[in-house]
Amino acid sequence: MSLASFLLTVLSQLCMVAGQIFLKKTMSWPEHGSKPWRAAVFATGVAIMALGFFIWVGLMAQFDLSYLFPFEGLHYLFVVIAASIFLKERASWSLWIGLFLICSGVALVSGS
Amino acid sequence: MPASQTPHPAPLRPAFNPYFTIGISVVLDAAAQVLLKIGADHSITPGSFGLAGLHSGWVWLGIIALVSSLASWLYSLRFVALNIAANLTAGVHVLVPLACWFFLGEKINLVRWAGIALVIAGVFMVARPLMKAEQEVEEKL
Repeated sequence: MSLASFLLTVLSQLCMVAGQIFLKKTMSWPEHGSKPWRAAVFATGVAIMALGFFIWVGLMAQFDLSYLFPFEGLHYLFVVIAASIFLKERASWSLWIGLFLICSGVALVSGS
Repeated sequence: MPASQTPHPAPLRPAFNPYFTIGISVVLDAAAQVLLKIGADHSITPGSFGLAGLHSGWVWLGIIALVSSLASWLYSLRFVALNIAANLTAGVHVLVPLACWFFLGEKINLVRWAGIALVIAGVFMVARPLMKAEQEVEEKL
């Protein structure tokens, strides 16, 4: 996989994670919260997810699915990064081992 | 649009067995990936943005499967403990390569199988703490 394709894969996963957070946010919207603001957050979530989706489908035309799909595992890495930014929580050692396994797996697949 | 209604409390008894719906969600997600792949091969020039995929019926089937999978997933999460749901998320990484080999005839060499196995083990390890963290991030935002 070229660097450009790899960056697109990462961007696609980032969009999926961000879009999902936006959408879930609108589902737990406070009862007396602003309605138009909620609609805007919903629309933004859908737009971000659609962008990630079409990047992903574009990549599918270029690679075997069995090659591309393991890269989806990388999205957990972004959740950890988001969690460490927003929660200031220290990740457990088993989490690091899991992430290390995912990254090694993706590296192996990318060389296959 | 259902999203603009106030959320109603979960009923005491789910209409469907949540373990069934969570399994359905995983299978639909894998099916969506295979359908999208077939559609992408039919409609998109390699190396371009995927918008042209909308010309393919396969891609639309994939979108329907993906949205149904998400709906089934969100439904299940109201009834199934987070850690049980998390343990099943690795399932899609098992099903997709098998479907690639069986339905798409992709040739998967030993190195790729080994990489896939590592990803499955990793996802299995991280899914539970991460779903918890994800929820906390969402509550904080």
